[in-house]
Amino acid sequence: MRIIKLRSGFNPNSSSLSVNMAMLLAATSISALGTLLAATAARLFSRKSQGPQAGTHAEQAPVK
Amino acid sequence: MRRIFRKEAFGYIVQPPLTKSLVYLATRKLNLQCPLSAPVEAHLSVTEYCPNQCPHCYEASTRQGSLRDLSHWKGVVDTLSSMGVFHLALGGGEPATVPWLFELAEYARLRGMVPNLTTSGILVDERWASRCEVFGQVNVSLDGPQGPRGLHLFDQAVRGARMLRRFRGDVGINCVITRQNFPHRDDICALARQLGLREVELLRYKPAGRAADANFDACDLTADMYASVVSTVRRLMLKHRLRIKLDCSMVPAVAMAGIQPGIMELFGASGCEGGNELCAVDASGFVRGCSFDSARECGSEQLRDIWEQSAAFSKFRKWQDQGSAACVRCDWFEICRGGCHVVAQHVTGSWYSPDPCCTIAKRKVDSDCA
Repeated sequence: MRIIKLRSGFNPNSSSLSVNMAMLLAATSISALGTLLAATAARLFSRKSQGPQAGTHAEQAPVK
Repeated sequence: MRRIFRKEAFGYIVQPPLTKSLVYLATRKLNLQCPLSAPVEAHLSVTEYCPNQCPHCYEASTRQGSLRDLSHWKGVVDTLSSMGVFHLALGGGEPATVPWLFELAEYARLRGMVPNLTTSGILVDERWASRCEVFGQVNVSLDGPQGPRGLHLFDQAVRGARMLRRFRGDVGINCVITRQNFPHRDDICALARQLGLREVELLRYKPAGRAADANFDACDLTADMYASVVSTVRRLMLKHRLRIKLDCSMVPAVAMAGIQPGIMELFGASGCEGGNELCAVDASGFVRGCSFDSARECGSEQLRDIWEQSAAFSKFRKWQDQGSAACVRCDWFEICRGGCHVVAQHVTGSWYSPDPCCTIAKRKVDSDCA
């Protein structure tokens, strides 16, 4: 069983359903934040697993 | 006792106690082509009488408007209750002129439904306001001095809202947004805050009743205004700390702001729900898929049969089959459903044309033509 819809509040004016913008915009912000965090985590993880990047100090030839 | 749940083809609709929310629980995949077993909300236009006679009234109410008796409306409530309806939206005309309004509301409570009310506020006095506890939500129609109802009704509506607020916590404003009052939306929200109200519902101007005869183009929002609806709402909510809602005809504007379809679906931000989640019974006893549509069926006693078989309802349910090419290819189509069909019918002559306010559909049409 899963929740497929949450309807919050009713328009007492007429037969038109209300869209609760606070919930919608909060969910959008959380979703955007989640996407940003996931992208950041993915970038950090891929950097770590690839090892030092070309041109970094670790890749330079040792000084004799 | 209030109805707690109702079984549907996809699972259950549950109304948790002490909330104003409905939760849709799926036990199987939801078939969008399959209409609900009954509406979740019914609009009852309990009288055609209204002393205001506003030029834009979508019900075309007048001072000569008729009123059917309480026994008729109790019969309608009985039918709706047996079908499993959760909420009633009581309106008019001006419902405050109806002598048995509170008796009907109490009867609806007894039958497990939540009665909600909208009033112009002009007849609200202390005694009347004190009886409004029976309603789940009370909203006052208040568009600002620049709105369609004008300055005279605005002052009386403010007085009515103030009086209602003295007797109950949950009072809101229903504000019809037009080209004329859109620039003054901050003033309306500031007023709501000052009156101690919690909620402002922004409603689109619909070409129905007398508003269909009025110049719709002159009142409808401009393209720029539609494009800024979501950013405006976000700003107003934060600035005035109010709950702001949009009616379902505004959903194309939400899609145009790029809100993800999945999020819109989860929070019930769907387009036209006429003839599915909604139905309306007018003051003469006719039944409609939506209060703003002129197609109607006689009479409310056969509501269950009408719900299942009527053409007045089935046209609302064919949006997937009949949707325009521009809409069908849109990412938001399953959510938006083509927007407000009443507006589309009025502006383009076609029920299934894309909502005229939708710039996503407009871009698709333009690219097809190019």
